[in-house]
Amino acid sequence: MSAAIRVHNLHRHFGPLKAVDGISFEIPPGSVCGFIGSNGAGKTTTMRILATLDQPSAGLVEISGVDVVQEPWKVRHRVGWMPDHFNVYDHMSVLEFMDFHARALGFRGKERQHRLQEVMEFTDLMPIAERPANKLSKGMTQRLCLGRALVHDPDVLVLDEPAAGLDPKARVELKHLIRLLAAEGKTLLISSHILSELGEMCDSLIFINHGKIIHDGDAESLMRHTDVTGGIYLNVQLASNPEALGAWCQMQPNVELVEASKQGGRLRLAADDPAQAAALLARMVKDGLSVMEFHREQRNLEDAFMAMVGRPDMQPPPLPQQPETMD
Amino acid sequence: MAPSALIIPAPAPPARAASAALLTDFSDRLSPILVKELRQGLRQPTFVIAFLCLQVLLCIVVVISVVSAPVGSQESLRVGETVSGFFFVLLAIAIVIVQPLRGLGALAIEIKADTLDLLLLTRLNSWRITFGKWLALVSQSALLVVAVFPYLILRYYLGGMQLFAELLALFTMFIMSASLTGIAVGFSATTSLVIRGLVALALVFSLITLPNIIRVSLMRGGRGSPFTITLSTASEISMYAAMVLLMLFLGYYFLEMGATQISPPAENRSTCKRLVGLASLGLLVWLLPDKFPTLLICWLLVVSLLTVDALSERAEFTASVLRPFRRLGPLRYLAGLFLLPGWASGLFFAGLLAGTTMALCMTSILTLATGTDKMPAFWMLWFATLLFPAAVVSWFMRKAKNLFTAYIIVLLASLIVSLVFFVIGQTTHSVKEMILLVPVCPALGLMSYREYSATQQSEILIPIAIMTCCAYWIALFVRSSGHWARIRAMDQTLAMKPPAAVVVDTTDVA
Repeated sequence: MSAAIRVHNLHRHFGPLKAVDGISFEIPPGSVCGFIGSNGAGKTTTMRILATLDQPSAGLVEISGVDVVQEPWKVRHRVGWMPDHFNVYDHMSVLEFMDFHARALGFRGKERQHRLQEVMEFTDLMPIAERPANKLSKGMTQRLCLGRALVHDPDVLVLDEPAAGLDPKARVELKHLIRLLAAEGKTLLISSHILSELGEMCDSLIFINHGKIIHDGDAESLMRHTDVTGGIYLNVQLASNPEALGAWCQMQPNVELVEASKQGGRLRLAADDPAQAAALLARMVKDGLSVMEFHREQRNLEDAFMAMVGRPDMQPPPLPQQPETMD
Repeated sequence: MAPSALIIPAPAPPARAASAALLTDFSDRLSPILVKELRQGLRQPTFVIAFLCLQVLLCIVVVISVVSAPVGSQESLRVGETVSGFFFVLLAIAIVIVQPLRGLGALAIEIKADTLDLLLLTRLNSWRITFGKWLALVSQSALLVVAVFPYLILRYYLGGMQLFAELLALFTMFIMSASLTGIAVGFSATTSLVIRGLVALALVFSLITLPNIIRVSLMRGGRGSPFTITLSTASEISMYAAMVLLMLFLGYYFLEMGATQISPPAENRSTCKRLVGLASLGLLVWLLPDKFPTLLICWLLVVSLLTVDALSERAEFTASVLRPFRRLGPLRYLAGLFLLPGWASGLFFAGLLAGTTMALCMTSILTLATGTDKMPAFWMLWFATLLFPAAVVSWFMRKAKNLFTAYIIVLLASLIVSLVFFVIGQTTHSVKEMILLVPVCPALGLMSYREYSATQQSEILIPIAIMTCCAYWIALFVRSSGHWARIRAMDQTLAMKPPAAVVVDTTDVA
């Protein structure tokens, strides 16, 4: 079966800046893929190319086997795009906004009526149908945006930061909608900064940094494995004086305080060696730290991401000299 | 159970009823963008206030007129003429000033709010978006015009009404409004506030002058004015038709320019607009064969617009744009040379326009015995003035995001510099010596054309004009070679089946 999304050796340059630098990946139909990267990593640029809103400098991008450059019109029928920044029109209700997009996508008469009914019920926009579209809360606006992307029933959905700025309730609702869409067999590519949520929702994860892909695989294997340097994570809780943990870690070789908490923190031990972990605990007790809890912890996605981004070979390349181009 | 019921229960029944009503109405037959724009536009305070003010003011004028001069009296004739003046002044402010000014934000709002992307992802192409926005504004103008009809009927009973002339004036004003709205909507795609500000300024300037022109032409009879044209002779009809054609062309062309600026690289708008431009030139010649000075002015306007646009078009397009050209077989090279999108082909198109202009010029001199033998120099200087900004932008402003904006800014700067030199030359009586500055300031040659052509300077004016024009053209041609190489590569890629990965780096071109 051909991939729902196929990207091969994709480049996008803005002058000397290589926003996307030769990335390749494939997403099978019906799967949910998380697209993770820090700001400026190239996520939005890649997603805009997938949605036919930008042109690649080089490379091949296909949606359900259709080239986004050669046949953008065909691709647009198959892709639903939800931008990270979404504005709606003044002097227009939610229903009118959805109705306009349904008309613009070629729906007429009863067909449009049925489709709008389906989409607005699915995204729970019916109760707010008559409200001004520009006066909605962030969560409602995101639902409206998702509804708009679903009007033409696309096979592939490209969602750029759909959960950004949402409150917990709206986030749960959005997650639920995404699960329902996945259950319907849609292919979803979702970018987000909230990595833990992506880990729950996605079948696979792609990490991108400085325009290059640094990981392409499933979330479980990423969290199960030790990081690239072979380290493990330890959760340490102290009965008193938790600030001492940071200072103590600085004195120890091969140990790093990854995240401080109210009563201690998470440490990264450079080697996956139970003997070393035991020795570490012994040293803590010996040095007078009141250890209340000490256990090995599964690595989360944030750790995996930070570990990969922090690798020396993942540092940004120096900017090339401005090329003399002829136009 | 509907999936959404898992999240928040109880959908609201009134919304369903509203949707059913909305979806079965007449608007289903109209363009989606027109429906959207009318829904928004008719609720905007600008339109509502303009509409109500117009109605209230006209109502007051008619009531005062009827009270002060009873119908049928001698006094009512004079009052009737005054009422007509008021009608047209008020209507002109509403449809020739306010409505076009609203058009200046049409596309800019979409670009600023990032909603244009969402529109381009639908089945609406850039032309349908731009045209729909224009049509919505013109429909609102039409609504304003129609709302004036009851007052015109009342005014008819006051007597002294030139029915045909006033209806024609109304029609002319409406066409002018549509044209100006087209120009404003076209300019609204330009993100530069400077350019849009200048257009707004021009429209506001017409606020001061236009109502006066209309008032004077109506109240004094204004023979020869476009607002009281009687269309009694074939000559008048052809002049009027040419004027309407010119206004429609300007409106259309600026809309196309706006559509080009927002179009994605896979959409080709250039071929159509250039062909329409050539057809309009042909129509002008057909309508005004024996009115050479008028024809030249109209020609100058159309050719200048076509040249400016052709030389400031972005050169970024995808291989799919070449496909229709490939169907032309060997002729595709010739067609592509003049009609492909981008300033590289625009350079040849400008050359074609310059050639036809020269031919027209020579015809006037040799056949019709009008014009002077220095006219070719004037036209060469004119084209050099238009080529100069393109050469500057292509050689020194390659990173400019919007070529059109960059072009206009350089053109304005060159005109200002030339004007400064001209004023210095006039005050120091050294205009003739300044002919040596013409190669770097071609607009100076235009400004001083009268002085040069009347003296011995005219002998060297023609070679200077030719050399200047050719130098800029060659400079641009050299710069375009990389672009043509890319087009050839795209053509070869298309020749190979199935299409391989398209590798076209057009970053700097854009």
